[in-house]
Amino acid sequence: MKLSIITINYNNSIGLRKTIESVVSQTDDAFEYIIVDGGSSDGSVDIIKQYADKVSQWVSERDGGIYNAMNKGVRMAHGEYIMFLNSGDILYDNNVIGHVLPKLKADICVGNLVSDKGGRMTPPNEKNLTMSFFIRGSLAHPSSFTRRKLLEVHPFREDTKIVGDHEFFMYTLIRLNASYQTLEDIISIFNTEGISSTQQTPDIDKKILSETISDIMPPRVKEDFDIFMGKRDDYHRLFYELSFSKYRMWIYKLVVIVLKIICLNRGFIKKYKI
Amino acid sequence: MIISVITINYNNSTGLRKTIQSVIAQTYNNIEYIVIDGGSTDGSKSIIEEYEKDIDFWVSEPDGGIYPAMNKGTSHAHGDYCIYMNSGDTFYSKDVLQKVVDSNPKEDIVCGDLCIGDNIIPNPDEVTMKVFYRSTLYHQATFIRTSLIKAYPYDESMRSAADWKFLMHSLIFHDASYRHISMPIAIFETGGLSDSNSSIGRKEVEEELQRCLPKRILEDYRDYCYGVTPFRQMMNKVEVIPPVRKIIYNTNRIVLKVLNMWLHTKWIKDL
Repeated sequence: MKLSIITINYNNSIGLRKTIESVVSQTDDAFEYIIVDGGSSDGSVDIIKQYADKVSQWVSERDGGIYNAMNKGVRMAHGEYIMFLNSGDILYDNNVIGHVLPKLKADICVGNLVSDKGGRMTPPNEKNLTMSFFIRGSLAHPSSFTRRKLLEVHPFREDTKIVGDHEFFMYTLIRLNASYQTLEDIISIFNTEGISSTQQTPDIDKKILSETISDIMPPRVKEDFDIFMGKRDDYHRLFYELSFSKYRMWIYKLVVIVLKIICLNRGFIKKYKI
Repeated sequence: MIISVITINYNNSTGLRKTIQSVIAQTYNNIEYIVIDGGSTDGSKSIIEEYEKDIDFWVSEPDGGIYPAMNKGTSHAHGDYCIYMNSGDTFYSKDVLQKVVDSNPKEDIVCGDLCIGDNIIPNPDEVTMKVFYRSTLYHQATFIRTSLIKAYPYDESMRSAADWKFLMHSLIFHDASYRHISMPIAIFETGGLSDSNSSIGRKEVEEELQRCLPKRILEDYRDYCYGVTPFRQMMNKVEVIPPVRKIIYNTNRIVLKVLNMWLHTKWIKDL
């Protein structure tokens, strides 16, 4: 079995139905489908039972939060790769799985994600996937395929509320040096009403993230990142922010002009050997 | 406070004489002086014998290279701090050690500045990984707590970067304490071994970096220190010249403030 798709759900029966339908209508059915419900009371279980013949395994019982449910799903799975499609998120079209399955090679494969409001999240390429990327943000988990072995080596931290996947990607890709691959296909459509897009990051999550960062980097390496990323002084902050702006070439030209004006002053050239 | 000065030498009798003279001329007198010779054949031994009364310990026998010799020196040191003054290097002035002791060092690693030719090259005030990614601290101007160097001796399998490796591991991964004293300590004679072997040294450094830091962190360092994009290269160039840096920063800030009138971007407002 190459792939396990895992859906976790808690009291979101409308979203759950959409998700199940998008999975069971796939033309390629060489995957197993697992649903982990947190003991919903809004009739989600009836919906699962409706599709019971298409769902490989399902469970409905109280659990300890999102990442506890996801880890439970991983323990039930048998596929080489695991995809998390939480209730509300749907696959982009009926052929996605068939298209993508033969391409999966690396430990973590990430495709494009579309939000239901029309925004698109393209995964960063290998070159840009560095530590500073994970300090700024994270990969999109609804469009990613993760090798199951990796999830067994480093399961999601269950004490996190919404950054468990961020912590997982950061730790495995940086510290464990997992291999990474981008997929050109659009994999899934992301529901912007989900928990991670409506909630502010809670303090406990910030604490856990910074613990992981210090686990990966000794203090004097972290200090460098703080300087580079502009947490220490305004100069670095300005240019760090600018380096992501679409006006950066414009600023670059401006700086070159200012440098040339300065160079007209010969004292500078002598003193600093420009 | 006892300071152990360790000199290693191999077939460099002129340099050795200079170094010994500069050490015994120090006004501070609580010095333990150790000379390790690698069995030189150019009369170095007779120079050591000439100054024997000022040397606490010396040996002249073949050894496995610089770092084994330095480790041999360390094993005979009893001072609170060690400083390695290899033959050819000299102290900047007679009262250097007195001044260092007066500054009451408590840290594991205490650094001063190094004088090469006419230039005084300062060691950094704050040490971070960037220092070791780009170059190193100059060991001729570095006082190391003896217990630290005895616990983590130099890696004898390396040919020219073992001092770099020791300093990096103790400061970055063992989080040793550090202080910079802003005064020249030593005069460095160019043409030393780790000077002529810089390509081997660079290779050893690269290998060691890859062993101890994840590759996706090293990639960030490559970008931050050498610049992958022209924008970053420009930043790095501007950064090292404080007055220019100030001008560029202010011009950009003013331009962005003006642009802010029609670009309603959040980060510009925060400036």
